[in-house]
Amino acid sequence: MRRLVIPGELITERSVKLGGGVIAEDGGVHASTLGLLDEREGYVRVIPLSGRYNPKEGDFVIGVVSEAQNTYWVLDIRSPYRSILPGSEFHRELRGNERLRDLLPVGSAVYARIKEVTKTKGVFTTLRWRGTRVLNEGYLLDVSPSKIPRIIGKKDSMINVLRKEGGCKIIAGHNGVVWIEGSPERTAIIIEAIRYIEENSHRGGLTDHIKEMITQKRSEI
Amino acid sequence: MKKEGVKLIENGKRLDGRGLDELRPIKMEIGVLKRADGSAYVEWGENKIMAACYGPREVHPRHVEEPDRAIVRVRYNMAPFSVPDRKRPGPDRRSVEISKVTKEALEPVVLTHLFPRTVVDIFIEVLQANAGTRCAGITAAALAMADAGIPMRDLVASCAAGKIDGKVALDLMGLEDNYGEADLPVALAPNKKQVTLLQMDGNFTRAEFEEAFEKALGGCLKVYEMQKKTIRKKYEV
Repeated sequence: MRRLVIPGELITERSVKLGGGVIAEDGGVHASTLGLLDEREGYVRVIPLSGRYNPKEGDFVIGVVSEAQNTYWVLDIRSPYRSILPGSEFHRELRGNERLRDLLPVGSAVYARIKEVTKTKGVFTTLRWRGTRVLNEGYLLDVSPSKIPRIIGKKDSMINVLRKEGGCKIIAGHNGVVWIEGSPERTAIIIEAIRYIEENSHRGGLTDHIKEMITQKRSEI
Repeated sequence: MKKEGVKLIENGKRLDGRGLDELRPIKMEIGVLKRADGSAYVEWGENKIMAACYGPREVHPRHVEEPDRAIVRVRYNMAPFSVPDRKRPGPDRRSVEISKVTKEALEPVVLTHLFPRTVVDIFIEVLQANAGTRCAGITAAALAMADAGIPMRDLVASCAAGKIDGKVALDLMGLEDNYGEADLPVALAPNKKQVTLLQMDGNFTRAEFEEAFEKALGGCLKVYEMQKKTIRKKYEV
């Protein structure tokens, strides 16, 4: 059971490596966000319970096109910063007199990789990477970015249960957006399961419970 | 401040039965609003206050953003029905001042450098007022910010002390504020041991000031304990 820490709370006075959600001040390590304490040998971090997504290089995110310019798209990745998808980072070249807005009109969703975050928080994404893709159909679900690791699970255990038992295609972006593709009934079950994970993320033994929950709901369809 | 005929202390007890070092009953709750990123509701004696927090998010209008840090904006507002005579709606001199000092009480604890070019917006709505709304507002706003997951160095707790019938007393209520001699609101970042708000209305002698300040700090620490309990309660298994 992880301990809940409150901003400002002293975690340790030993010198340790700092992860996210902590701050070293006044000769001690303090929590800087409300969350659950993850303390290991020589390393501490706080897993936040809420908060906006802060873009990081190498993250995979689900973004929605909010602008289509001549040379780039602007993606909404549910963070305080707009992110740019340059036309040159689309997974193929333009043909004939195609324009960017023909390839990805405003409202399209993509699963992209964050290529670079500049000092001034300019965010650049790419679709030229293994695993990235355009998401044509499906449903986008907003969750707290801090819950994404729980939804994916250790070595993908949780998300594989959702995929297998739920019979849907599912992608979870680091920015807290989950894409689900399946029949409306199945999608509804997945949404319910994800909401349950969100609310009970601080409890153990979730994977088995979710497995049961989905099997039972599906038998009711 | 006037001082006529009203006896505020009798047999060492105040009009509502409190001793000189006692706070009014306080009730707190967090996460009360669905649409805000974070929220809190505080009942502090007869005060009823709702606070909401949004962000960090893109700054509008653009020209007020800072390239190297987040900014904090606070709007303190009183509902027309929050006082006995209807309050004319909209910002007035008093609420603009309180918005400003509240912002300055909260900003020092926010890790603004983590989110450059963004804003943290805080809204404090006073639904019912009975003296001490700025302290209750700051207390509620700090809870709302923690609920929103804003990175901060510390929580902020706030409480006032004042002077009634020539004696220093903790946490004045409406009547005492009206007929008392002085009021001293204080906000404290308890772990940093940093005072982020200190105002004074009326007159204290130097010794009285020091006594009132100590009392108010003690009040802040009590409020801080309640804040921590409120947060813990929400995530209890």
